[in-house]
Amino acid sequence: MGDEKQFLNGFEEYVLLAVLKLGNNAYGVTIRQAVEDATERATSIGALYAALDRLEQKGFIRSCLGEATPERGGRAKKYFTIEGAGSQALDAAARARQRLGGLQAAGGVV
Amino acid sequence: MKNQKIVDNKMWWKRIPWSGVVPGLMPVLGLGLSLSGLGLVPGLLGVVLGLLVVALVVILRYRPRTASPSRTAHRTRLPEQPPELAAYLLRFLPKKDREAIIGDLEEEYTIVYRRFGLRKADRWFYWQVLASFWPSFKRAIVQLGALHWLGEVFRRFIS
Repeated sequence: MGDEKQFLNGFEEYVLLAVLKLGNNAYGVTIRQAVEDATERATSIGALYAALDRLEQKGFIRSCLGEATPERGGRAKKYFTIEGAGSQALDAAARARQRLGGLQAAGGVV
Repeated sequence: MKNQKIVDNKMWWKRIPWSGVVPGLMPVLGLGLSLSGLGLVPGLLGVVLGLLVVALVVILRYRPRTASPSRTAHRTRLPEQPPELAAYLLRFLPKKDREAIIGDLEEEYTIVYRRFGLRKADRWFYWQVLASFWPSFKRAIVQLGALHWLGEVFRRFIS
């Protein structure tokens, strides 16, 4: 069995993919919009930051403070970037899905 | 001058002597823990009711009348500013991500306000504030449950 710490749940995977897709412009607002657009479901900012915290603790992403803008009440943006371990976790999740997809096809469900 | 007054009222929580309020919360937690001898639910209710009383006292004591987030709130607020009570509640989020979350919500509030108007933007903001507390609330419930379980084990051990 793989390390439990390196396991990605569904929502964390979406968030990690959004961070990867957004590149240098990945912060709370843009990540939430990307996840909502992709999943077509509303996402609360609290749940998003809880997932981002977990991903950071697992070493999949890192954060840094950016510039403060007037429309944010003078508060700084918190930017997120994906780490090597994050990319590996996404690869592992994709491989697991492929294997499960193969099993599903073999079982005649699809 | 009028704008300056609004800005001052908006920052009313900065006048609260937190160093006095925080120790005042300890009896509330003590009350909750003592009631937890009767069971987890009365204990949690004790803590929640105590916190509500403390919040009410602080808000009534320090919040200026002009900053009321009532139906007339839009008259005392600067345009594209989120409701003050909701913005104030965000101060109680965990410190780590507080500034980023408040900034994100204020940025999105501006977008929602321009697209849908004040009423919908305010409703959206209140909902986001409540939703942003949910993960912390869930964690606190789990921790209180664990504390209660440990207390129960300890009580059985010494009896």
